[in-house]
Amino acid sequence: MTLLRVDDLEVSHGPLQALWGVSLSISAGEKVGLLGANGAGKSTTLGAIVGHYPAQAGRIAFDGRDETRSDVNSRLSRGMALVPEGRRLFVDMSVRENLEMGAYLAAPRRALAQSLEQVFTLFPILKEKERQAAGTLSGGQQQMVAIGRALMSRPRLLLLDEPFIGVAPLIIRDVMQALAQIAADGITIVLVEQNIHRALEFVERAYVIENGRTVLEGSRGQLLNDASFGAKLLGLD
Amino acid sequence: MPLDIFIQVLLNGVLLGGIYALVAFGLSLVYGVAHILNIAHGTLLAISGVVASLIFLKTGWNPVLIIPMIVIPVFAFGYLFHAGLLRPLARRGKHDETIGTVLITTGALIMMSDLTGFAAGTQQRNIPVRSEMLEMGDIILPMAQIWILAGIVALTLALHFYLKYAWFGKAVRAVTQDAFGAALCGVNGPRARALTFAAGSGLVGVAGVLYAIIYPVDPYMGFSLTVRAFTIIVVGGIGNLAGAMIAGLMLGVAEAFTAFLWSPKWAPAISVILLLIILVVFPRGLASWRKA
Repeated sequence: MTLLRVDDLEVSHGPLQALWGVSLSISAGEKVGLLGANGAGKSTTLGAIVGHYPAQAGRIAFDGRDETRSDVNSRLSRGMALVPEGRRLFVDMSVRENLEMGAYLAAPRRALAQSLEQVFTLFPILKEKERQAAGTLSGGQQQMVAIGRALMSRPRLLLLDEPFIGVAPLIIRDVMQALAQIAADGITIVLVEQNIHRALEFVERAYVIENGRTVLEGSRGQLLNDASFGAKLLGLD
Repeated sequence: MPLDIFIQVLLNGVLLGGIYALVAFGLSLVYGVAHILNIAHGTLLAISGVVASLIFLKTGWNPVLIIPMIVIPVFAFGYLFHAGLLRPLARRGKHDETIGTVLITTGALIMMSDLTGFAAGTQQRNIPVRSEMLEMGDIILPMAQIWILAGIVALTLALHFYLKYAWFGKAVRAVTQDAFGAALCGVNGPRARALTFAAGSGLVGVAGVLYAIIYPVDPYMGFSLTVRAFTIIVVGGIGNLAGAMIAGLMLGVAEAFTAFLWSPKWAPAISVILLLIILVVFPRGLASWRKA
């Protein structure tokens, strides 16, 4: 069953057009990567999927319903959540308050205690640090808070934008395992990542975005064997 | 200085400083959440004070009853002012928005002062409550001032607990720290900005009534209060209630002693001098102590 479908999406930032035709089709339960060079339009794609950037052309459908014109809150309450680039935590608020904010909307608020329990099971270190200001945590722990905060809205689709930036190599493995656990719990994952090898370790399938367009799509095996793949990723051709 | 006079001047300073802190905290909440530097903020206090004094003159009611009569309309005014005049600027670029908000709130300052002056006169007014005296040995204090102090403490605590524990209070702090992060959590940014602007206005309405009980108000005094509020924010930090209280009390006490020992004319200069000294010694504000 297709959970997220994006057709010929176009998005502009002011006078600059960032996306010229992005198309994705993601089934429930999949782990999909969005790969591409710096500035190719990966973050803009995620921002447009959650409704932060309006679509100028094209279509976004989630779980069979058109969401092209809906706002962030209605997409959030239908089950999308974004872990943004740079984490965007509330640095002076405690870890627990950051997580609680993730359950701000009415429906997740009712499940607050249960969701907190689940996040603390996934990331036990956050339970230990729940009273500490989020800004005082290490990069990896902050990333766990950001992922936890997104999970607090009880999403069906989790979009992650470069979640390993500023995370110590040893901790990357922990975060990766947590993501695998999240996927095993049935949450669909879209991962934006610059490091191809790391991304292909985790995802089953990936799209390559180049100059604001999806130019290539394939399974992990196909992409690793495709001669043009590396060139496309680096924007060399 | 004899102890009883010292205590009386100190209490005056604490009351003044507490009111300044409430005014400044409202301004800093609005700045933190909506990025609006409301030049007319102090003028709202002046006008609330003038209107409260007119109501008192007509009815003789207890100022506690007058507070809601002021706060509710001022809250509604703040909401509509933001929705009607300031929110539309968000569609423009960042620079247009910053300059636009300063121009609009400055225009509001002039219009509000002139309209109030035209309707109610430009003379100084106050709320001359008759107050019992509290005698503790040599020290005699008017009960009204004790009640005002209690009111300031109660409001500060209420604000603190609201921002700390209420869902919307947390959302306000979240928007201040990272507006995009808050939007991703489902916080409706425009609504949070309008409500914060309204709440900041309502807070200044309460402060106006309290102020008019101890000091005279007139329609044109607002801007100097806004300047004091800026000083307090720079010293105490944006969105920092404890910082605003400490900076406000410092300023209020300094002004009260300057007015008593030297001349009331010099009291307003204190905020500017204090601001200069602090900016030279602690260029990032007193809140940077905490982080260091």
